[in-house]
Amino acid sequence: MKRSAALLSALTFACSPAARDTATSSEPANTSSSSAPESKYFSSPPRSAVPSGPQGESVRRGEAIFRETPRFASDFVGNGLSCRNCHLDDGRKANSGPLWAAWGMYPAYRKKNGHVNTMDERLRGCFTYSMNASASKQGHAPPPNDPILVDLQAYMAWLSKGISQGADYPGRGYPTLPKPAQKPSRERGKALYATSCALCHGADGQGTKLGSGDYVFPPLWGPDSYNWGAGMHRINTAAGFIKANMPYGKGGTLTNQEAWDVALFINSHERPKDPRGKGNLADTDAKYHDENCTFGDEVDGRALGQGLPAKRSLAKR
Amino acid sequence: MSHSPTRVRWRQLVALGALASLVALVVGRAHAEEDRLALGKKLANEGNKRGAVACKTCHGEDGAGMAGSNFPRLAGQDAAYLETQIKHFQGKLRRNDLMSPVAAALTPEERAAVSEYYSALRAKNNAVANASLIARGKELAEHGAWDREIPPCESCHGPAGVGVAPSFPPLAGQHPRYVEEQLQKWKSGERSGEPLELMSGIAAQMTQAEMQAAAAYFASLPVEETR
Repeated sequence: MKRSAALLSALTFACSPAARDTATSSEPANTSSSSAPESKYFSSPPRSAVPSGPQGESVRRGEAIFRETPRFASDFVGNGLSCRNCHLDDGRKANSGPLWAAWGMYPAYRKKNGHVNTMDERLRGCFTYSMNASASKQGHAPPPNDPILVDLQAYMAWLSKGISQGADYPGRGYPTLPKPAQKPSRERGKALYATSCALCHGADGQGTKLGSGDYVFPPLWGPDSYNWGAGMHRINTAAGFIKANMPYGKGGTLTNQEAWDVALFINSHERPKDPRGKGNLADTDAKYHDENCTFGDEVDGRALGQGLPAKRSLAKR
Repeated sequence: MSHSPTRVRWRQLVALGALASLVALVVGRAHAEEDRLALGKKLANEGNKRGAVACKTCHGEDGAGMAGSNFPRLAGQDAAYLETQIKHFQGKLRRNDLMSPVAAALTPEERAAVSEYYSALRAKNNAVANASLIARGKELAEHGAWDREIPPCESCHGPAGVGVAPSFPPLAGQHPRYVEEQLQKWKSGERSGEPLELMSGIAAQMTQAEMQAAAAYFASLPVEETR
């Protein structure tokens, strides 16, 4: 098989309860590592330290998959997203779902599927929801122990060199934002989106592509975005990500209220369907969706959550 | 049911008329565009005799800019981006001893025409990159320095600096002295007006060495000559 691929993605934490649904325990041991001595966050080894030989090659393949998932895991990606869209700095950035904070927490029980998940399974979840694998060429996430998943885990393990197993590191996941003073508002979110987000993500939320078809800025809703089962469709999760990381280079500049408002606006649009839903909208809503998402809500006269047909444009490479 | 011959003829006439207007419109548009490009070309090569010298004096006949100088490459830049930059010179959001008076002498029509003209040009990369800085620049361009909120340059300017129109200009083949000088101007506040103040915020975090390295890397990249 070709270069493998796929990803880890982004949007990881799923739709059910909170962004971090693994049980947490101990305090972080050391926040150490190489350079950047004043940082309060763990820091991964520098890229230049990737070893040569088969181990290092797997790490490098994993990094490539992480950076350009639709290219290197094309068989299993059904939308336009790459892992690094939601895990900034290729999985290194604190408060952006850093891989080094997740690696030592697995195997872990997840409420989302009601059993203990290995990292391999966890990554498959990223494909299923955040990369909408059901619309991919293969129509499903990479099978267990697929080379794509192996390479991604080699990359994660390398970024996590020196961590303490089971430690809850600062900067893990996305920050949990307190509920805003005012109920989140689509209208305010829409106005903020136009001034602060549309420049890159497009006025219509469909991202920005090059002539090659590659996305430079990811689509936030519509057929090429994450599906209704991805963690990012949850307003609280998206608000935490946005507050800490958006716009690029200006993390932390939006108020909590603004982050909630714009997260609500972004997640009040149609996107690919929740692959867990077998029956009607109301059943899926009751079984898998809670107050932190708009699934089943009526917006512009239409109930959200019905899904969108896949755009096959991506499959061309 | 059939129509009377007269009615048919009447309809044909109307259809013909519509077609003629459409052709006139298309031809008219094409003429307007030709006129604009002709005006742009004239400005580029001769100036306007009202204070705007010929653009090619500094930006080169083919719009590739001048090797070793801080006169930027304009060929292949997005037309709307170029026009915005001229407006910024006119509005003093950008300042340059040579460019400011030229921009001030352009009418809105000339501004649009010359932007369109350079946007349509294609030229080889004539930038000179400091080879010893390229690797460090590539690292910054592809990975950024997120511990200081510096995103990878390519996350907005596109892979290999191809640019993402209309707001993020191509950097491939741009002259390193120019890029470095602009980054310094953003850092000092001398240049402003860009969307969301993104570039000034990022430049403020960059060191001099990083500016030089990033500029060298982008200067070393091939430009698309036939887009």
